[in-house]
Amino acid sequence: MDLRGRLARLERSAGRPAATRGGVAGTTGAGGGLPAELGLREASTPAGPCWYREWREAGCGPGEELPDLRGIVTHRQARAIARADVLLLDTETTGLVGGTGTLAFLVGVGWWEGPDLVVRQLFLPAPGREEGLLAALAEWAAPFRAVVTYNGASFDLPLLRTRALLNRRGDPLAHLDSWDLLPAARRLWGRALADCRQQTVECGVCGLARGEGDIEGARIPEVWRTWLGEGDASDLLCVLRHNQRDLRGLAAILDRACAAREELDRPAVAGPGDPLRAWALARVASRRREHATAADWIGVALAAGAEPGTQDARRLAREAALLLKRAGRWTELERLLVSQIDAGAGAWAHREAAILYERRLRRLERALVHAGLAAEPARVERLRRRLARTATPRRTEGT
Amino acid sequence: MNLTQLLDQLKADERFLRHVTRWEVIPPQPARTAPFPASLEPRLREALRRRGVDELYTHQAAAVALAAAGRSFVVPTPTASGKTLCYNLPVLDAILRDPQARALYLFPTKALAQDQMHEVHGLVTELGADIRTFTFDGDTPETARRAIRSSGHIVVTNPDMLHQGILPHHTLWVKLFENLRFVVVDEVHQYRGVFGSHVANVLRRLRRVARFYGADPQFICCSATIANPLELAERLTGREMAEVGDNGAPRGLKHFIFYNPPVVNRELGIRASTIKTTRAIAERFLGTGAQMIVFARSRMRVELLLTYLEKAGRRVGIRGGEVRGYRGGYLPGERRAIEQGLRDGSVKAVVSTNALELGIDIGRLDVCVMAGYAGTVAATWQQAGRAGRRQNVSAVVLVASSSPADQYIVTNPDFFFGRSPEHATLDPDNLIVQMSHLKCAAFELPFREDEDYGGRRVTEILDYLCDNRVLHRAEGRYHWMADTYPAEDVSLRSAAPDNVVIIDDSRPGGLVIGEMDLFSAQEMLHDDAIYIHGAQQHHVDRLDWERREAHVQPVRVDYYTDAQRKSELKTLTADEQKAHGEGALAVGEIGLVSKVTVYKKIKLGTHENVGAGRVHLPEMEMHTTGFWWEVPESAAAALASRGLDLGDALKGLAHLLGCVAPVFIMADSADLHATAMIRSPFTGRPTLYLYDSVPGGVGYARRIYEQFDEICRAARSHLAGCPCGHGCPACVGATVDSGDTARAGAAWLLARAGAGDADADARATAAEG
Repeated sequence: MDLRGRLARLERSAGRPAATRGGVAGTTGAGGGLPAELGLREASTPAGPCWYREWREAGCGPGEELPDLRGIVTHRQARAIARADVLLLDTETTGLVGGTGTLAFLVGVGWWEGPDLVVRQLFLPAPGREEGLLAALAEWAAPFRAVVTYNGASFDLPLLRTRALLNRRGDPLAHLDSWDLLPAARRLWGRALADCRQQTVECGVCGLARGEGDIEGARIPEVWRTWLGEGDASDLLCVLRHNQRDLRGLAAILDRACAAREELDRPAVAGPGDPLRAWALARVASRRREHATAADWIGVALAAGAEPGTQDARRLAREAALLLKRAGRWTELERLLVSQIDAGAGAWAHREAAILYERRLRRLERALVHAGLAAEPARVERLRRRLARTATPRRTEGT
Repeated sequence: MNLTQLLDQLKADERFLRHVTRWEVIPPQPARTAPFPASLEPRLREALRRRGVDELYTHQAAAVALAAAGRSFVVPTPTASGKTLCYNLPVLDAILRDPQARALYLFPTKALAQDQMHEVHGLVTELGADIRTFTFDGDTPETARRAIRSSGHIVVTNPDMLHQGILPHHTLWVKLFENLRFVVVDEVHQYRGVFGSHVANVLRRLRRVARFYGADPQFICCSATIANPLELAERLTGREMAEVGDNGAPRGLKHFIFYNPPVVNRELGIRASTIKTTRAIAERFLGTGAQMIVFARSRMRVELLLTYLEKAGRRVGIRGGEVRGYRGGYLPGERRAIEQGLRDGSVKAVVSTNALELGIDIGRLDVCVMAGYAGTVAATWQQAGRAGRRQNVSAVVLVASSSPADQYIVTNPDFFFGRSPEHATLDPDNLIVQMSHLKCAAFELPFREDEDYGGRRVTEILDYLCDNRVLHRAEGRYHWMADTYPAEDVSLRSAAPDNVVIIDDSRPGGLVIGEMDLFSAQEMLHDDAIYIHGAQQHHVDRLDWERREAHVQPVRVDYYTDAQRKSELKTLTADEQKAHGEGALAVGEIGLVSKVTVYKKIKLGTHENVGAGRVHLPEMEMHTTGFWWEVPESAAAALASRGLDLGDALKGLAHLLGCVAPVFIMADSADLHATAMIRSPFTGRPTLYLYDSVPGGVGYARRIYEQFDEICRAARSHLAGCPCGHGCPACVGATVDSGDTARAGAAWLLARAGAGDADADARATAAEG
């Protein structure tokens, strides 16, 4: 019995999952060379060749001057960055599981040159040829200051870092600020959308449709393997197109994020999409520590009102209480709490009211009532003592 | 009555002594010490002095010296002999000299890792140096992981986490791998059989990844006392090692008693129940106020004994919470509380599976009672080591079961108290294990075509994986190409990756109370089984095999269930064979189909059989390695001429060897099975089989092939010493199972198992008794 036969039989009898889940047959790679229909060009780097194609299109993405996106894409004070300083990036990989065994076989990058969006797609013709790709990526990414991705902070960027390390190279993107649009999208539009997948946001927020000929993300690893193993490139073009659309989508989402940010500079007034729009803006303002603006916007959201009794309504009220507190808007806070208590809100509203009356508005009797209703015996006790002290007239000498 | 008084009373108790096959008094031993080696970092010496340590035990000093010389080494040492300093000192010394240095500690279980972390932490705190030690396991919060990866000097983990969580993400651990100076592997004797074969491969992968980052760490291993610690450690780590002998730790006076319960049925050779005997003995110790641990061999027996001892405890004023159970399947919080209770004395007695055999810190107790031999001499000494304070007297009682391994040990006490005869066995080159890890290794780093793995070329397996679309060969390397995460499909603990989840349907929404591997689940969680968990009986309403779920409800019934498995064996290929007398010995590949068919209901307390039922579950199929002995064709006639039956003889001999062999090869009796065929379709002759009961095998069969003569000698002397008439479970099996002539027949065959010498007949006569 030969070793292969034995291995096959042992695997079967051990009840192991079959080893055939979407691997690559053969050991030849894309023996026939790169398919012409992909339109790939070769760039030479000191580390070896890199295959890529380039594409240009006009009129998409934000304006040339980008607003300061702190609170939306980054915690830090963002450096003043122009559109031309931003690199868009999206990878297509051999799997979604992460770890050192996953390759990026297509790295799409995009940037603006004047009015045009330039898309360059770096293609990996076979495993073991990553060095050229990584060297070219490092060279092309060098002039930029921020990299814009969708979930890149958790996926694309660590993956490329790992690939670089495994090829004993430095991280080609280490010098760039990471602007991940996924958490930004969650913050800005999460409540209004069914989910925050990139395509959902493109469709629901930017009005973009992928149209015919796009490929499902889950099928992508298999397409590359099929090409690699069997030389069948028929679906590769779809993957390149998909990646290109992803980059275009990134540009569009970045544009909408900038637009949302610019709204913060305008007076807080009601608009379409409220209360969710105003609520999201309040949140962003709060992350920027612009508490007055946050309070203005949460006021707009409250005025628009969420559907009473829903989870959204309860969350909105609680978040509003927090933002009003941070802004020191005691009268508005009192109004909010009273209306919430009238509407049947539970212990939290009474507790907030007790704190507000005790600490800010100095109305201890009211505080005592709410502390009782919030079932907070320690606070009740303290308030009773304070009330007793203020009720007893002080003895002064000679009386 | 205190412990010493009870021991005096037992010494004078004729009825008790009648069943004691050995009362070994192990004298106290003073400490043997050596001064701190000159190479030891001064800050470390100071810290030890502040903790009241002015010199080291001899074995600790030897370990420090070997580490300083750049050697890898193994320290075989009993429980509680200060082995942690053997690795903590070299590691801390290295980090004090070079703050970039890193170490990785591996413990076989998560619980043990947590426990040892506290130990290192104590010494580090004393040092006052910035040395960061962290445990990294499945419970480590995501938020802490980044800090551990970059700044942990000592990372304490288990092989499973290394396999699934660290190696496949090694690029996140650059700091650790680039500076990896030491790998500490504790309890190496645990890494044998399937688990050991897997772990050896995980360590091959670890060294491979470390090499990528330019590191070649020293290995420090600790082991219980076995015959081949050096061989085991070298096979496990793939490195040349030194062995540290001369254990210098002190110990107190210890009484070690072998108790063989009385024969209750001379005809069948059956002895009084181990559980009932253990219960009676443990109850006597419970009355002395001594802190006690009782070891039982299965989860079910733990629960049974717990139920009995709780009741007995109440009679002597011990409350329910002071007698506790401890085993796999209990939640971590519950376990921590019990460990703490044992340390602070609030738990008076604990009934445990071997989960507490390992070095989890529960302090030192006074008494250890073992319901049955722990399966290996090493494990038995480890369990016994739980009892024994430095000053006071301690007592250990081993209550033997009727099984031949137990009987072999209690009737041959010199085997136990002499030098350890046990060889720990593992086979890192088991094809299926190795292939699983080659996938993981290729995922971690592409394989070069000219790269060795485990000291040899593996291109044939890599090419097989290419054919199966798992790897891709390009640019002189094999690259991982599937879209899965291979480590997820490989469980180190079992050959089969799946588990059955146990769900208590009486709780709202169904509460998961435990998990069990498929093989055991067929025996313990079949429909209508009584599954005991936390001393609570549960009725299995439904085992949903497809969904891997067992639905149970708490019940109170007066019986438990015991399922029977039937197997069928097919020989596939012989890899190696040699003539042996008129017959032949061989080792090769076999196929096995097994099925649980029926179960018995057994009454609690009396252990009577009170009913039975059928089990309808699918067959389990397995390919493994087997050893077989082709018995000479002439045996049938020769036996018949003596009025003996070949079938009985083979069956009896299979029973006997199936139980004596594991003692030599350090296998659990469940890991090695024995069976016989009057005419094997493969050999065409009467044939006796001993095979590894794990897919692919882990080297047991091969070791038996090599040690067959030695095993037969032991079996012959055991058979000759067995006091039964025609056979009992302790030797060739009860006559109802093996037949009336099994003992004489087995003895006759066994006499011929020693390469055809002239004294065979004389030996057979002697063995027949």
